[in-house]
Amino acid sequence: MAVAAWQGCARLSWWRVRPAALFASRRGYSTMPVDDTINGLNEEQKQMRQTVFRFLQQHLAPKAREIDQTNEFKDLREFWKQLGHLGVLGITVPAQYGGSGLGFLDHVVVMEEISRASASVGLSYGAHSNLCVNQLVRNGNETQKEKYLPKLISGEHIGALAMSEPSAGSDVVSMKLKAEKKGDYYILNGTKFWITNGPDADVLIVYAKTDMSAVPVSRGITAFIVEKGMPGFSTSQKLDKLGMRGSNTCELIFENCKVPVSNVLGHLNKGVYVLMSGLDLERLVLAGGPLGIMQAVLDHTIPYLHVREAFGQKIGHFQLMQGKMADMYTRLTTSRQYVYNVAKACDEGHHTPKDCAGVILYAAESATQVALDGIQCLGGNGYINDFPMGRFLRDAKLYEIGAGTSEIRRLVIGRAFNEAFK
Amino acid sequence: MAELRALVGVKRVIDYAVKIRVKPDKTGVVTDGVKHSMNPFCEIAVEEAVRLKEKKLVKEVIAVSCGPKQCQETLRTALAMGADRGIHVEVPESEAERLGPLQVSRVLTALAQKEKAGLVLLGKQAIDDDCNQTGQMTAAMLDWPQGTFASKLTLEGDKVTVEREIDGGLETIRLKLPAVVTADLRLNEPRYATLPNIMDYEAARALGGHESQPPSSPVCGPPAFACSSLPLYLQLVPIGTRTCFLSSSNHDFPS
Repeated sequence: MAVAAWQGCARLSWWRVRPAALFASRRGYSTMPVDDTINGLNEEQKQMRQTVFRFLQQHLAPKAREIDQTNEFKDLREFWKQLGHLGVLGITVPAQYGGSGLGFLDHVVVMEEISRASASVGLSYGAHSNLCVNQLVRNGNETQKEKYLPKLISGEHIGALAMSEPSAGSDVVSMKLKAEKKGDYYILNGTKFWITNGPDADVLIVYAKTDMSAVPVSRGITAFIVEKGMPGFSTSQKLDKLGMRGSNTCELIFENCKVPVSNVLGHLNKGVYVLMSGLDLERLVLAGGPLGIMQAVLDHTIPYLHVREAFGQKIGHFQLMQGKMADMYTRLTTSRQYVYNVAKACDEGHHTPKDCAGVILYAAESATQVALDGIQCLGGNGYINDFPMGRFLRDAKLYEIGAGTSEIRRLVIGRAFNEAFK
Repeated sequence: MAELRALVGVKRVIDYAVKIRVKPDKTGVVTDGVKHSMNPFCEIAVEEAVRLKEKKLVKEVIAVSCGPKQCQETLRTALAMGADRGIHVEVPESEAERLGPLQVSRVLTALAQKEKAGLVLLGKQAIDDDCNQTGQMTAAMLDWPQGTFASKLTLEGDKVTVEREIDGGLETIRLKLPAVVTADLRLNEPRYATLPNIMDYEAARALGGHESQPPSSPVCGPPAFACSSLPLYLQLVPIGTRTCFLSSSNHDFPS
């Protein structure tokens, strides 16, 4: 009889978890307000955040869970066109090519809002709008810009960037993809790995070695614009990742892929400059991703703490929970101020690799910690997939690895200081 | 009609997604620091007006909002959606709580006559008070025909055909302009202001600078209808156009 009573109790405590889960997955949760005056945004940026936020919460946030579970964003193409219509795909592109002509701070804010709704779609967006589109704007010649930018900005085409290889991630300069000149074409042979948007991209910026014997090794890299239909270019099946599921990642295969000479981006053998300067801005804009994830964690955690009860009161009133809220909030806000300020400085032309690495280093590590705290605040509920807390943690972890691992970012900053004392 | 001017009323209300909390003294709901946005039905009205303008049936879309200075944000949204001009009827914060459909409809009546509007488009009701009165009162004061709960609007010459959603189903009526129409949910799906639109407007604002214009004479005086006890002293402050922006001027309210 005692056993039966215990079994009854066990079943009861399981039941106590379920109704809350149902409650959370059904209601349209209200998000936490963002104090943009403290964040230093001007009126137009505040309005932009509002508009983008409303659109995304209505059209993307409800799909985020399914995207993560199925590792697929079914309406990707349609959604991309909607983003194009909003004007966010070509956010840093000058108006003459159909872009919005805005700055990096605006780009960071949009990146943050998309990541707040779905971090994986945010990553795809960042890869498209910054890694591909922005590189074209900065390094393309007029013909290339006029050929490729319009469809990338309208959302008809999806863009990607390929530099990493199966054996060259942090040591990207040791890449092995070869490009040999044959008449009016370059023949590319080799593979790329870890390529975001790889399976879906129509336009890809690919780094390849044009001079295998260059000294130093970095002087032999050239950037190319590759199109999906080009002969010899194919992709293999998408990767099954821990997080960022729905942001399709795959391997690119080049088997005697013919790329016309006119598709060289920048100058021959000068690809490393394109690559390195692009990396700084990539880190800056992608830093918006962890900010969005942290905001999403707060959006879910703070209201929950004021609904869930224990020992006769709302758990948000207990000191240790208050401490957790304070820690999460201050981590988010300090990361935000750093990212936004560096973005503003970049908009004014003041651009340092040290700070671009610093912002994503700090934001990414903060995001992982905040996501862990978020799971802890929800207790058992944080551990089940009915709630998104697990997804936030899995998504946040990527930002410590992609766009330069935390270790590389630390090296960049340390070396910058070394340089100053040479 | 290429000469037709549409006056659209927009109200700043607490955002629909916010969790409403009652004030501790139980005199109302907490509004301080709470996210506000344009009333969803007003958005539908603005969208309809902008669509009519795009079809070249309406010449100019004028958005109006009554309330404290934060209403300018709501007007900005209307302008970014495609309205041509915004008029902010400024009511001090202390009086704003007493502002109701009767007062607003008087303002709209005066403005419709002043701006020579041929079509007044409003949302059917506001989501904070759910009064569902402003449109009807405005039509009565203007002595214009009204088509409320519109789920379809067709302008043909000097007539407007309105399909209304009523308790028994759908009713189609035809009104002779000028008329008042209030928008229901299924009239259209409002657009999101695109970034270029938001920036267009704001950049023009920065370029245009401040063009000062003396505020028009206060709309005040004894209420035309004895039922209202709220003396209303308002300064009409034209807030902006797509080509230039006017800041609201400081003004003294007659005591």
